[in-house]
Amino acid sequence: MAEDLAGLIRSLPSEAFRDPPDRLLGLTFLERLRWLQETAYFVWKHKGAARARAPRGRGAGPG
Amino acid sequence: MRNGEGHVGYLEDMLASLTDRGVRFVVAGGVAAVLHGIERTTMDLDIALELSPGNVRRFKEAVDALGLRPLVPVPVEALSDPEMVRLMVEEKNAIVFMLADPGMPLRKIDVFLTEQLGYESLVKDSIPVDIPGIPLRVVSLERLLALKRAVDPPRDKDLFDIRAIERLMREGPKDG
Repeated sequence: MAEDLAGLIRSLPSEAFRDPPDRLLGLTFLERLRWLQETAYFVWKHKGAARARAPRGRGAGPG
Repeated sequence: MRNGEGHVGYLEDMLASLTDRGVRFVVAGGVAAVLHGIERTTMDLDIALELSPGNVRRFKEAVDALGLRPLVPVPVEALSDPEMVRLMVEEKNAIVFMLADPGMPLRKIDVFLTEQLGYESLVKDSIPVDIPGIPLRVVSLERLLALKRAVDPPRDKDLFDIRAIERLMREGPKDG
């Protein structure tokens, strides 16, 4: 099983493990617009959240 | 994707899906830069994932629920096998393991694979950050700067981030 997986990984071109440089070019106008909206929303809502550090025990990381 | 009464963006959706399942990870990259106060666009969610079998299993449940699929035909479970990670890093020069939504490729998570960017390395230099309902660990501003300076060759976005982080450390945050 692990040998099969190792063989599979070895068979893949290195480029498959890198971000395609033209990812944005493949998007439609509406997809780009949506991405801009989503990014702008996240920045507007959460920019600087790390300045208001609020330690909690739940979820990611060892607290 | 979550879309209830209040708007939930795809980045929040991905973060919430991971934390809801107790996945242990550290946020880095553009999302970390924004959380530290840098105004920039960001496409992917870059994370250092703890690669224990249990955590990778929880991570797989989360990405399955989000509809994200690996961009290479390698199962997510391979992340918990150190030999498979070594193969991807050393033989394929992979830095990240990419997962994306086939219907919306910008909904994407990049999991760091190299030891330098691994969970054990970054969690030591991370801080807790709570965005409403989503408790996170985010790489510190100082470590984020070090990571950006280590990118060789630097991309435009890395140079932008370096300048922005240095300005933030020098002048402090600009509100508004």
